[in-house]
Amino acid sequence: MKRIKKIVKLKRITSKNPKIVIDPSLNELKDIKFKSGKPDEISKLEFKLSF
Amino acid sequence: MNYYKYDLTKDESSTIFNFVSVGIKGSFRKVVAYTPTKNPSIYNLGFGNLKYAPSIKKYIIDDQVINDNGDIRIVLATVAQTVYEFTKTNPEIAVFFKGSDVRRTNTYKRAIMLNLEELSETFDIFGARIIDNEQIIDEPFDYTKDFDGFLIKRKKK
Repeated sequence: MKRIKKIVKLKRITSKNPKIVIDPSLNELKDIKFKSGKPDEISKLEFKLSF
Repeated sequence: MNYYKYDLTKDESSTIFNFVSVGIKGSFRKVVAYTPTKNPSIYNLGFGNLKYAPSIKKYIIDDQVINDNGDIRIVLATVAQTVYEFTKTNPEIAVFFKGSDVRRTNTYKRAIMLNLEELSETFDIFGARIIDNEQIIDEPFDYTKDFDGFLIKRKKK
């Protein structure tokens, strides 16, 4: 039997006033790491700021 | 900001945001994360593609990927929207950000410059320099100068 691959294309939906909805499942990403490791480097630096 | 943006979801503390970039290369799940630094009044902004890393069996944010998805303006406007949202919830916290490479940092500088007037209505904006890989200092934002990153702080009402 021939296999049929279904391609689902998402439509780009944008607006000038986007909806922002709370998704509690994102709490699981709280300690997520970055591939570049940059945020970990930044977290070790001292900020000497004028404000 | 008067740009088209993607809809967002966020966590309860407005430190993690999620949206989907849709373009010529497909759809990519993007995550924007605000993470604490040594200074409790400064958070670091980072974003990229959400990706599962089998070696550690965890999700990571790939902030080095180049999607070329034809929607960079929409993506940057959406990330800027998260800055408004994060600082609305945390008005005393300033946001530090830099690109994962010089090209990206320069892209952010150009985006700030193009929208400086509007951004300045809400935020004080500074250039940031990393000194001896030990400390970060701020300077007035100046498009003619190269910076290692940027700091943005909501103006007091």
